[in-house]
Amino acid sequence: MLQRMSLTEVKDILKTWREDNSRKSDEIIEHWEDTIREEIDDLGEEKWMILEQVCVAGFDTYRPDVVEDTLYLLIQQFTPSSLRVKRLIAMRYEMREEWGEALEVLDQILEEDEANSSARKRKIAIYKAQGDTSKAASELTKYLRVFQSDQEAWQELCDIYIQEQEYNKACFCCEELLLHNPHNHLYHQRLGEIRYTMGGTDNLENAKQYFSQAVKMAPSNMRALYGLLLTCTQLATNPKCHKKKDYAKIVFWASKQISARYNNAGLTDKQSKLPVIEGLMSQLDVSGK
Amino acid sequence: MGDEIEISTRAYCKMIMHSAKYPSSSVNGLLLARTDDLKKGGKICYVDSIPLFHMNMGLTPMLEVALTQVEAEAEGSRLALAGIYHAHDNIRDNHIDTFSQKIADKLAENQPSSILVTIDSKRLSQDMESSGLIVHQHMDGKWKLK
Repeated sequence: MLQRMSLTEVKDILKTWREDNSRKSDEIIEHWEDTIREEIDDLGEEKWMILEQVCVAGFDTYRPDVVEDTLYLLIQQFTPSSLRVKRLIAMRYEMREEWGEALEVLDQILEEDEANSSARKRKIAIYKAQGDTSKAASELTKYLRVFQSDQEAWQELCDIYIQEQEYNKACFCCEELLLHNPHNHLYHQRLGEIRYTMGGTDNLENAKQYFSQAVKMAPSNMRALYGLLLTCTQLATNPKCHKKKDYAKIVFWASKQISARYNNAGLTDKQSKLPVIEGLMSQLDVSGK
Repeated sequence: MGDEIEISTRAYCKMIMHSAKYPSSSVNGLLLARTDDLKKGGKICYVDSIPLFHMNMGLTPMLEVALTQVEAEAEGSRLALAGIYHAHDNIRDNHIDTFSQKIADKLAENQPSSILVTIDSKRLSQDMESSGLIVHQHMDGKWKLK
C-alpha cells in the first residue's frame, strides 16, 4: 500500500508518468482510490488528462468500476463526438473483448480523421490481442509507411517479426531504429543478437560488428560482451576460418572484461571463472596469445 | 507410462511469480530436477525453477549463455536441467511456439524425460482452482500431454 500522499505530490507523479509514457497501471489505480477520487474537483487544469490516465489504467487492470466512473465524467464534459473520448469508448469494448464493436468505433474515428495515429494503433493492438499476428504485422507496416518516425511502432514490428522468426524483416526494423538513434547501444546489441540468431558466417561477422559497437559505446553492456564472446568463438571454431588469431584475441579480451565485471560485483576470482567462458575458451583451444 | 512428475512449491511459486511480475510480456525460464531422480526414473521432483527472460525472447545468444551458466551451477548442487517453462503475453494463448519447442527438444536430447510447461494465463488468479500449468513430457521421442 502507498503512503498517504498529498494531492499535489500525486499530481506530479501522474504528470511524470504521462510524459514518460510509463505503464504503472496498478499504482495509478491505487492513487485514484486513495487520493484522487475524493478530490476530483481540486485537480485544476490537469483534471481531464488525469481522468483519461486513470481510465486507461482501469482498462489495463480490468477495473470496470473505475472505467465507468472516469469515462462517465469525460463523456459528460466532452460528449461522445470527441475523438479522444471515442477512442476510450473503443478501448472499453476492447476490455470486454467485444472486438467487432471496438473496431467499428475505431473505423468511425478514422473516417473523420484519417491521420489519427492512436486509433490506428488501437486497431493493431486489437489484432494482436486476437492472436492474429500476421494481420497485426501488415497493419503495422501500413501504419509505418505513413508514420515513419514512430519508434515504438518499429520496435513493436521488430518484436512481431522475431516472434514469427522472420529475422530478415526484424533486422530491417531494428536498422530503422538505429537510423533514428545511432548512439543507442541497446539497438546495436539487439541487431547483433538478431544476426547471431540467424546464423551463418556472414551474419556472425555482422553480429560481431554490432556487438563491438555496442561495447564501444557502453563498456558495461554485459549482453554485448557475451555476444561478442559467443560470436567470435563461433567464428574462430569454424573450420574455414582464416582469421583465427584475431578472433581468439577478441574472445580473450571479452572474457577478461566479463570476469572483471563479475569481480567488481563482488565475486571472488574463483567464482569469476565462469563456466561459459571456460567452455568457450576450451573450444578455441588457444591459450589466448 | 512415463515418470510421475512433482513440482516443488519453490519451483511452482517462482514460475507463477515470474509471470505475475511481467503480466504484459512473454516469459520463460528453466526447470531443475535432482540428478538422482532423473537417473532412477519413476517419480521426478522438479525442485527449482530459474526465470530467464521477459524481453527480447526468441533470440539465441543470451539463451546459450543462460543454459551454460545454469547447467554448470546446477551440477554443483546435484541438480540437472530437466525442463523449461514459458508463458505468453496474450492471456488466451496456450500454444507452444517454435522457439520454446526448440529449446525443449534440445534439453530432451540431453535429458530424455524433460518436461515443457506452459503456464495457462487464463487460470491464474487470486483463487486458483487448478495449478494453471500445462505439462508436456518427453517420452519415446514425442511430447505427450500429462
